[in-house]
Amino acid sequence: MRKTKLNKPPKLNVIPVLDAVFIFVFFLLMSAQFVDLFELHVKKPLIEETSSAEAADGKSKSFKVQVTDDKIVLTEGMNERTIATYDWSDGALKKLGERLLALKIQNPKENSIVIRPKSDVKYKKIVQVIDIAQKHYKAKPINGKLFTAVAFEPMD
Amino acid sequence: MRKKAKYNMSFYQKKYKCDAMIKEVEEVDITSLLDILVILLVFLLKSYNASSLRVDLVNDLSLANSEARDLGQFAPVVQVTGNYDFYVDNKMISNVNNGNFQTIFSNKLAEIRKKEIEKFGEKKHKELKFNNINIVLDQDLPYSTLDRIMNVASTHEYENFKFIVKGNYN
Repeated sequence: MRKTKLNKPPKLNVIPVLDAVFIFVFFLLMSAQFVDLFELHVKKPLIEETSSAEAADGKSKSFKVQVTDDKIVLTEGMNERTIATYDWSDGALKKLGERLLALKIQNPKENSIVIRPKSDVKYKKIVQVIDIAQKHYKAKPINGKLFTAVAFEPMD
Repeated sequence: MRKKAKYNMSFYQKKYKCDAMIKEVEEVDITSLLDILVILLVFLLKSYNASSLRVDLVNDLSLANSEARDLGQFAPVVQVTGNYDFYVDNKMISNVNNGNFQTIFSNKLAEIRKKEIEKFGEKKHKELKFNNINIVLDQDLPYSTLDRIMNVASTHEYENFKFIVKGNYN
């Protein structure tokens, strides 16, 4: 009788573990967000990082992206010299991203970009352009966001 | 219990009945329950969000997709639906196309500002810089709507606009 008792493996008491797991489940249920929401950070309509004096001196490149319903125009300088024009196809948007990356590599101190949308441009298109301008790179030469500061300036 | 039972019993009882009486209560098998709990735990851990932002999305609002991965922060939340209905902190206050929209929105922001100052005190309020505002806009609305909201918000020193977007994983 004693022998059989000794041979019985001791049972693990899982009740406290279960209690803890239950509490954990409720905590997670309360804090769960089933739609993944993120934020895009945009500054007020007047850009602060690039002063107009700096731009006039030629120290700042003052990159701007004009956004209309059918095209995107990338410009530089106070006189808004056109660098390139793109349509809304996926290939063109990719090329815009590559061009912005090249510009950033040429001008590593340039952290800001101005987006100039036309008043009738849909919000989702603006978000697409912000996404490209704030694309996150993990490897050198750019470690972080392409342009950290994005500001708006109405076109009309 | 076991000892007491044995002490009060006769030899016969001890021999034939005691074992049956003190037979251990059959244990409930909780393995399947544990399995479900583990699955639930993993699922909830995956959907856990450390952000302090809490948004109850209103109806008729489809969010824009974005590759952004910055987590939202607590700040006043402005929502505009596809029908131009305008919500501040989940309460509908006006329609953007209303003539007096700017006045209503401006008054609401002034009220929020006043509450913030009352809560934190003027000195701390200045130190903490409450200049963030979360904007949740329907993806098909035109830029002019966004511009109107930003213009009114910036007059109340809400200058850091946080566009709330839906993460896409393409």
